[in-house]
Amino acid sequence: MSAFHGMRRLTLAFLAASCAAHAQQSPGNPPDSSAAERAYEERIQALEKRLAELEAAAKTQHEQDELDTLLKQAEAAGPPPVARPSTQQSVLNPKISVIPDFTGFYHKVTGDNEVADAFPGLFEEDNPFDLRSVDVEFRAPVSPGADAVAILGVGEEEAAFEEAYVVLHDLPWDLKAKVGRFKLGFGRMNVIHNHDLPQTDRPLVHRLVFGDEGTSGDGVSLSRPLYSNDPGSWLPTWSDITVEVVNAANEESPLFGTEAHQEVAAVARWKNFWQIADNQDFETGLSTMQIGDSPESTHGQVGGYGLDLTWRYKDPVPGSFRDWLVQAEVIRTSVENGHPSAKNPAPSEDVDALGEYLTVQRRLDEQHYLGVRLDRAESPLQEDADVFGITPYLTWYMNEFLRLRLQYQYLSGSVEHADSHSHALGFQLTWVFGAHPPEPYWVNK
Amino acid sequence: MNLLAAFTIATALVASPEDEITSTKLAIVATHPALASIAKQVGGELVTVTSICKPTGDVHSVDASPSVLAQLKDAAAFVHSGLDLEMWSEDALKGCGNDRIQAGARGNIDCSTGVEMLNVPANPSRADGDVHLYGNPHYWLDPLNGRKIAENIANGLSALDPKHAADYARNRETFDADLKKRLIGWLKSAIPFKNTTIVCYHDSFPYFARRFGFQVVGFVEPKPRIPPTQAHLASLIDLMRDRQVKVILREPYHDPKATEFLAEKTGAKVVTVSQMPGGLDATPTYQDLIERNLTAVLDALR
Repeated sequence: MSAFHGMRRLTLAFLAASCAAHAQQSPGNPPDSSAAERAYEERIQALEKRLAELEAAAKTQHEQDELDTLLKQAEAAGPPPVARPSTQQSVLNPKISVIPDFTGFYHKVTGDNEVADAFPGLFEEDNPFDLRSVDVEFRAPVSPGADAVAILGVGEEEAAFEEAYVVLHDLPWDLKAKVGRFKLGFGRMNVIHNHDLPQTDRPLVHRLVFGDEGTSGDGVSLSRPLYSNDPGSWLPTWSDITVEVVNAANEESPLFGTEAHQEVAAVARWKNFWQIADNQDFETGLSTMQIGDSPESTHGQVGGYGLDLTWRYKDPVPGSFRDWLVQAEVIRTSVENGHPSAKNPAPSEDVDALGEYLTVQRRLDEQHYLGVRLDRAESPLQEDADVFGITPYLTWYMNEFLRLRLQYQYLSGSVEHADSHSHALGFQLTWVFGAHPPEPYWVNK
Repeated sequence: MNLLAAFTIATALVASPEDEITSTKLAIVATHPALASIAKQVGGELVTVTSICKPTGDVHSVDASPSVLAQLKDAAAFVHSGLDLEMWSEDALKGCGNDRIQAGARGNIDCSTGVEMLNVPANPSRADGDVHLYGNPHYWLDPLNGRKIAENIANGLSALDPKHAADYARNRETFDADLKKRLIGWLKSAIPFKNTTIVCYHDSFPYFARRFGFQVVGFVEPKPRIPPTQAHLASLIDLMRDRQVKVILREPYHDPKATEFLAEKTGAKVVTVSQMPGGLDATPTYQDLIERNLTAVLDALR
C-alpha cells in the first residue's frame, strides 16, 4: 500500500514539474498557457483516477488473498462440505404417516342404566387397554393448483377413510375449495382427529353432537379470507368464512340420518382472529349447521349453533415456552320431532339442548402441558338428560413423534331422577411414523 | 352505468395479483430475523421487511397462527431458509391465499440455493432425534453463506422488480464488502483459538464453528431436540474433561439448568449465543450478530 502512495506522490510531482517547465518554455503566449494548464489539470485528474483504481484493485486483491489464506486455515479445522443427496426417486411420492393411538384406562361406573342409555359410550366399563385406531395419512400435491389428502382410520372393527379430499387453492377471488370427504368445520374441535386432541377424548358436547371421533361428511367446502388488518388494531387481524354442504346421511353423528337419501346438511363457520400483542391472541368462531330431514331418521330437521372462544397468552420472557390457553365453546342444538316411521312410530317432542366446555391449559416448558377441562352438556335427543365432567390431564411430548398423556375423568350424568357416576384413570400413548406435518396452531396440543 | 360499474368490479376481482406489483415498496416477509436483516440491507429503501419468527424465538417451531397468514397475504416476496427447517411455513403459505409467494413463484426466495450443506444424514432415522433430511439448516451462521444469501435475495428481488435491479446489485455489493472486511478481522482474531474444542446445547452452530476453526466435540442434547438425561450429562462431563472443553454454547431459549450443571462440574464457561439478530443485546443486524457471537466465544476462551 505504501509503495502505491509513494508512486502516486512521485507521479504527481513529475506532472507538476512538467507543467511548470512547459509554462516556462512559452512565456509569450498567455491565452494558450491557460488552455494548456486546463489540459494538464485534466490529465492529472485522469491519472489520479487511474491511480485510485489501481490502488483499489490492489487493496481488493490483497484483501482477497488475505481472506483466501484465512479461509483455508479455518477450513482445515472442519469437515469438508457434503453435497445434498438426490431425492429424485421419492419426491413425487405422497408424504406418508402412520399414527397409532393407544390407551390404557381403569373405569369404574356406578348408577342407573337409564343414564348409560341416554349417553351412549360415556358410562360404560370398557376393556382396560385399547388400540383405539391407527391412522394412515397420505399427503401430496396432485397438480399445481391442487393438494390431496387421504386419512385412513383403521379401528378394531373396520378400516375407513376418515378423510379423503382435494384442496383446490388456485381458485379466483381467493376462494379455496375442499372436495371429497372431510371433517365438518363446526366449532373448534370437530376438525381435529382423535390423535391430535388436547385431551384423550373430545369435549362431551362434541361427543353427543358429532360422535366420539367427530363427524366427517362427503361434499364440498368453500372457504375465503374476508379481511386482514395489522396486529394491535381493534379489528380482527384475520377473518375468514367457510361454508360446507355434505350428505345428511352419516353414521358418525347421532343427529344425522343413517340411511341414504337426497337431503343435505349445511355447515358454516365465521372465524375472527386478533393478534392482541406479540405474546397473546384471541379467536372467536361462530358456527351454524342445518341438517336436512331424513325420512328414515328417528328425528326431523336439526339445527345447531356454536360459539367458540380461544385466548392464548405466552409468558413475556424471551425464549420461554410457557403459555396459557383458555378455550370455551357453547353449542346449542334443536332437534325437531321426526316423522312417524317403522323405527320411530311415536316421535317425541322437539328437543333443545345446550352444551358447553371450558379448557384451561398451562404449558410448563417445551415438552409438558398441564390442563383441566370442565364439561356440561344436555342430551340433544332426550329431554331432562344432562351430564357433567371434569378432566384434568398432563401431556408429555417426548418429541414431536412420541407423546404420553395421563388423564383422569369424572362424569356425573342424570336422566330425570336417575344418576350415574364414572371414574376413569389412565394414559394415552401416541406415536408417529414418517412425515407427519407440523400441527396447525389450532390443535392446541 | 350499471354495466360499467359491474365491469369495473369484475375487473378488480379477477385482476391478476402480478399486476399489483407497483412502484411502491416491495413488502418482504422473511421467516426469521437473520434473513430479514440481510434482506433489509439488500433491499434498502425499496423494500419493507418483516420477520415471522421473533429474535428470541425458535425457528423450528413457529406457531403459524392467522396473524402469520395476514403477514403473508399481501407480501411480494417470501424469504426463507429452504430445506426442512421451516416446515410450519407450508401450511401458512397454502392458507394465506397469495399466489405470488408460493413455492416455484418468483416471490418465493429460497436462500439455501447454492449453499453447501453440512451434516447431511446418510440414513436419516428418527432414532437420531429431530434430524434434518437435507443437512444442517443453520447455514446463515457462516458469514460466507451470508454473502450467498445476499446474492440469492438480490437475484430474487431483481427478478421481481427488474427496474431496480442495479440498486439491489449495488446494495448487495455494499453488504458484501462490509461483510468481507469484517470477516478478515474476525478470522484473524480467531486464529489463536484454532481447533479449540467447544460443546453446544443444540447442533445450531456447525457452520459458525467450521468457519472460525472451533471443534464441536459434543452436545448437551443427546440427540437433536431430545432433552438431556443424567446419564448423557455424566458422559458429557467425562468427554469435556478429556477434551479440555472450556466453552459451552447455549441459546436464549435453552434450559440453563443443564449448562450450569456442566459448567459447575467442568469449570467450562457458558456462553449465550443466538442465531438471530436481536436475540442478544446490541445485535440489530446480521453482521452485529456474528460479531457478538464470536466476541463472546473468544472472550470466554481467553
